[in-house]
Amino acid sequence: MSKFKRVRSQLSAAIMIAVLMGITTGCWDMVEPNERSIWVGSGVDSAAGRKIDLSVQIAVPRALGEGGGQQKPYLVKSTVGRNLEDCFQRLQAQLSRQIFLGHRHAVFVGQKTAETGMRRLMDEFGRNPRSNIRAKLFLVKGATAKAFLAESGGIEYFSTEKAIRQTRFNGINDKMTTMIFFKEVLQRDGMRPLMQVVETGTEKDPKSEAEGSEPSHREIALFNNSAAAVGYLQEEEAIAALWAAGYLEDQMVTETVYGQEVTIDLHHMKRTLKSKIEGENVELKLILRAQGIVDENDTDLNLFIYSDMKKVEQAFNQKIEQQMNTMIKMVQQKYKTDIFGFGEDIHRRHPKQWSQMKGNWDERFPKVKVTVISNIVIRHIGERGPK
Amino acid sequence: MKLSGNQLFWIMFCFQVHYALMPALQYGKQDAWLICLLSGAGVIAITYLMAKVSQLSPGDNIADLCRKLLGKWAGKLILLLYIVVWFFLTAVTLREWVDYVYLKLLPHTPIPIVVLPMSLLLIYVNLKGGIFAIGRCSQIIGPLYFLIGFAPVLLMFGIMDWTNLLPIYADTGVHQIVKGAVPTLGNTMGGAMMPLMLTAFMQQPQQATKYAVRAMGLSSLWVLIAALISVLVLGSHLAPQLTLPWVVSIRSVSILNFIQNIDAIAVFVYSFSHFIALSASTFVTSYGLAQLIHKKLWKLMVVCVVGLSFLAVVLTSDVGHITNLYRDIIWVRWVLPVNMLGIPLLLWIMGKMKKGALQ
Repeated sequence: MSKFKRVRSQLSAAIMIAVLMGITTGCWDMVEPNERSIWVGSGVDSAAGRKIDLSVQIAVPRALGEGGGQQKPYLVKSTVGRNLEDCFQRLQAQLSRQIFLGHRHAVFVGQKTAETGMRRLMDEFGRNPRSNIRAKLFLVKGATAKAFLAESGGIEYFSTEKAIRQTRFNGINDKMTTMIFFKEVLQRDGMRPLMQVVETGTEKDPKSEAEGSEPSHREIALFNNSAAAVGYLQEEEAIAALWAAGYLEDQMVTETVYGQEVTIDLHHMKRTLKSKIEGENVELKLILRAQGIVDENDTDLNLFIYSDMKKVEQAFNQKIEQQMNTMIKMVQQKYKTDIFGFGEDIHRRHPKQWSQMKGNWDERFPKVKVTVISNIVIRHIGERGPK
Repeated sequence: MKLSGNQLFWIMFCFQVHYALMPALQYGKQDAWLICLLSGAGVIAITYLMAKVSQLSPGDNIADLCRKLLGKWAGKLILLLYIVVWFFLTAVTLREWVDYVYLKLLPHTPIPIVVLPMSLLLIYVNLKGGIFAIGRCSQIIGPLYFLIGFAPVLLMFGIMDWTNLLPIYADTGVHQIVKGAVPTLGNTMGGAMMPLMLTAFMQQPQQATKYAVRAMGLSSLWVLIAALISVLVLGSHLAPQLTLPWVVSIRSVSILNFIQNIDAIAVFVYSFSHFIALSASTFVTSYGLAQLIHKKLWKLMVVCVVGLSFLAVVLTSDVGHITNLYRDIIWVRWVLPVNMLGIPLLLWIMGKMKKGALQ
């Protein structure tokens, strides 16, 4: 290659690079963050005549930055439309920025809507390619979803963020609160979905927060086959149900042992099902497993002594078995919806028999005989043995 | 310069468009992997046959082979059958790529604008370097494509539910498995016909069988893994309902709330591998076409083939997902029995009988 040619090729490469750098800097298709409304959460309520009342919580970037303390960091808009996307379209007419579903972290459903069945609302979740598929689903109890979105988020900027973090730090598997998981469970023959419940009015004026103590509330909603909420479980029952249904990963559990309280911080919580079919009778064994550290021990037992530690373990297991039994009976008798996936276990273990059962599983489910075996192991007694 | 075995391997591997695993999941749900296993065996068998046919006479491609074995006119007819199929393969792969890019990246861009750069690239790579340039590109893009397929699997271990695979076999049954294996076969073997044309360009044509079978074997295995993981991550009911289950599985990765949306990287690598698949099938179509008409018109043929597939994509872009229709009506009913089994078997038998004519 002659010198002239080499120089020419180097020169052309330099020009190419310069041109490429010039046209690839920044966004030049005008879909900048400033053009979009950051849509944090949406709320779904039903309106008259099969219509949907959709509300959205939109971040106000101006208020999120420094010095924006005076203004609320979010804005709630709502509209009535024929389906979700129709509402989006109507909302767009009210907004000065393009709606952008990529940031939709959660969808809230009002109690009334959830109880009348929300199957027809499910299609938009996961069809729209621009929406965030890891968005979570929540049920707003005692109020409309709109009211929840309008609420302050407490420590967080948004009530949406608050609800998501609450569930995450309460030991529930992240994947299982998403709407794609809800949709998957909804289609299973032998399992019914459940949903986290949030309430309005939990955030008060920061000044008076310390005064009147609001009881903390943990609640889940149970759904039936047609995606309608049929019942609610609170507190210990809710935790037991989540564990029995396989949603829970870690949890602090307090039980009364020999008249005093003991708390174990459980992790690696698992449940295993074993189904057995004899003729018409279905028997199920629910085995709960977990390991944990004793965080608090108010009893007189000295945990340095092996037999005492075993006593705590045994008492714990007994209590948990009792609670589980009561809870499962109640779900079977009162709500008659198989959130635990007992049917799914029969499907997976005895597919032949299942084909005859799946047609009327909802009638069979209350008759299933369940034996609970709790298998909790104390892995550590904490930093001291005696009280 | 000649094509090496390794290059053939990566070119054929890139033909695997494994994120569209619809038929296996639709027919098999949680047993999709059984269907993939069966169709994978079929793919390997057919690839073996193709590679063997391509080696009947080293240095000759399918055009020469047909001419030598069947005479001028019958040979041209058979070559034409292949060219039509290869052209469809180019157009449909281009279409698939455009659908994907449209859905994921550029929903507001007119389709011609999306297809144009890729079309120009196809013309450029074919005119400038031909199959050797494609081969060298594939040596870089192929492994990248392989990696972007595998890396998410490791990230997805945390969200897999292994009980999703149960019950094995009981829900599906042998009838459904065989029924699903045929369209899956159609979906997974665009590359199997490549040796017919490409072996002639190889340094050591006798190595083609080894590399071709390995490439299609690996890609079939990969389809199997992708089907398996889609079911493990999304569930056996949701996965069959999605247009791109593998991409959605990747999208559901969320590690520490930090490693998310890694499908954005995948989109680029998929586009690269589409480029390899498209340019190779363009080369094969236009080279065959040139042999049919006149060898010196080769470069003109490249422009024609790309131009026609451009038109095919632009003119059909209102139909929506054309791929399933194409697979069920054209590929399964005509291409599979005729081009994949019938003609290669015929050529192979003729080749064994008329050894003298090939010398």
